[in-house]
Amino acid sequence: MGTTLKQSWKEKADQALGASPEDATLSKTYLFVSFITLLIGGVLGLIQGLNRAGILELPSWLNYYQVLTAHGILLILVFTALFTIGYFYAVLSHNLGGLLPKARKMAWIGFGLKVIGLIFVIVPIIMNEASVMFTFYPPLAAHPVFYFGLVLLVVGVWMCAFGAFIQVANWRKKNKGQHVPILSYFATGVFVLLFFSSIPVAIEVFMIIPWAIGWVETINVMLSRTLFWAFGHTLVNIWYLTAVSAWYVVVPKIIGGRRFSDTLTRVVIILLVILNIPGGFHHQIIDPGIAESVKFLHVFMSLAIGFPSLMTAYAMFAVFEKTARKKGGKGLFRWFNKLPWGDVRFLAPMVAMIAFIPGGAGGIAQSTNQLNQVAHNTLWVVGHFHLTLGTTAALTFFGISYWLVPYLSKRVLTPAINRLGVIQTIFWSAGMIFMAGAMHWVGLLGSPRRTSYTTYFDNATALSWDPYLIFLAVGGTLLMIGVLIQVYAVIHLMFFAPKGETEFPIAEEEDNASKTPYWTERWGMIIVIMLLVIAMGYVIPLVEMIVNAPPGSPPFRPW
Amino acid sequence: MENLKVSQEEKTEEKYGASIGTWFSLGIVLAVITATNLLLFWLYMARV
Repeated sequence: MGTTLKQSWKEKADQALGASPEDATLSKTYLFVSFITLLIGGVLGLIQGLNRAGILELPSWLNYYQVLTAHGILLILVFTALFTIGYFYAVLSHNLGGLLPKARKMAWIGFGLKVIGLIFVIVPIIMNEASVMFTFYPPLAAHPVFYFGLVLLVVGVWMCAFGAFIQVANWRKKNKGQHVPILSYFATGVFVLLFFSSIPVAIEVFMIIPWAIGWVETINVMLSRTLFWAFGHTLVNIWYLTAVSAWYVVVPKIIGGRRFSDTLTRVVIILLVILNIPGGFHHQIIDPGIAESVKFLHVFMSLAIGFPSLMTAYAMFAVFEKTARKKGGKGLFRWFNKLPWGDVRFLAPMVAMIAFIPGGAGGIAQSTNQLNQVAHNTLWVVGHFHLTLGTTAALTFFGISYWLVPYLSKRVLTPAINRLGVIQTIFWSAGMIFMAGAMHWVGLLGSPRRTSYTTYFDNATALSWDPYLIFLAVGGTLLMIGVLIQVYAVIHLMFFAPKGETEFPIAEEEDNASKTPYWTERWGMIIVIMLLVIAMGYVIPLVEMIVNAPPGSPPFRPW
Repeated sequence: MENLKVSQEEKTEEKYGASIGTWFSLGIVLAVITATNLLLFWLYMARV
């Protein structure tokens, strides 16, 4: 009894006073390294963009594909993973009464493994031994050390996932019959997806290692690609689910409103977890050797993700409108003026949501077999994921940083940094309009992705792409300014902003909200359904690819 | 004059229910999705 009372007081004190120093240090470390990665990846992105536009010639010791690989791995795999883990561990600490020592330790071990893994991955790229791009599937072969690094990255993620599972399970044990707080529910969904989606990529890497070392001569390319995209496709939705957590829970608080239906929010999370992984084949929709029926199934699963996304769009607009009208907003559109556009904690995720409208629309179009043929392997695809990851996910992460970093550092967001954040959001939005817009359009005109600048012996079509590529370079430059401002703001908020208490913004439910059904807490059932759906999507094609394997491929190193 | 303005605004409020903005915004989302699909479909048909 005494221990329970003491525990309860400790939880209340932690929530009132902010994160415990140990938990704050953990999340701050993740976020700091994440934003340093953003800085390095951003510089590489600028170099790449200028080179791709034909404006900048790279020195002889650096080639386009090295820069492309490093830019992709640093931003797509490392920046996002470190931010997501740092953010959700802060959530678990805040929501669940502080991290368990075991969970914190596992997150630190995970961090160490990821840093060592990152060094193992980056060194071969710098030595021009691993220009295999962030997708790293065969037949391109990197130095074996690159793949050892990937193994460490994956094991690091698993450590963090299990730390989170232990934390949530411990809370549930102590709070039987209660719903896991909504942000921790999001964290559970994200870590479930991270764990299960990284299993296929781990199998792929273990297939590649003996092939890269030379112990086996050939590898099943189709199988490797399929295993990669089971992970790659899910990764996209891990960023999305992370961003969505802030949209549903944090943004309503910042605008002075209440959260939309708790049941709907949890159903969206469950649907994103269950439906996600079998969408992977839409990345291989033009690949030969995959039955039409399998592609159809995966297209259906990919489009199914659009359903919870549309539910989210409705929920968000409803929260905005309701809150704005309560503040006196009127008319068909004038209520938008009542939203706090000058607050970066709202502006950045709001722009992120707006970007997801064309981003999501492009994704739906690309998932359709015939329409995909118009855009496949063109710069359109690069533009698409700069809208989805580069804007929707990244800008939401930036918006989160303006309250999360001061919360963890026991500092406050000053009006000056808020203004800087607004300017950063404007630079980012303008940069993406130029860059992603140009990429989409020039992609439709046929300009290929994963290809350095060339005019194909002054071919007229290739020359017609040049004006659009200049826009790409202009956008890239604006984005680099955005990166510099963002990293400055994070470092300032972490180390130099005035001391003070910052709230962890979590919106309340409506007063008349209906009770959330308890079946939403049955994670065992949700995971079993998810595994059944994965089995439905993958067992037959994988067996087919293994039993009737095409001739294997030797390693290729064309760079 | 001021009174007239107020009553007009109230009328507008009655005309647009509390969720009309939400549905209109969703309409824009659906329009963007449809337009993107139509653009790619047109390009696909032009190139077949």
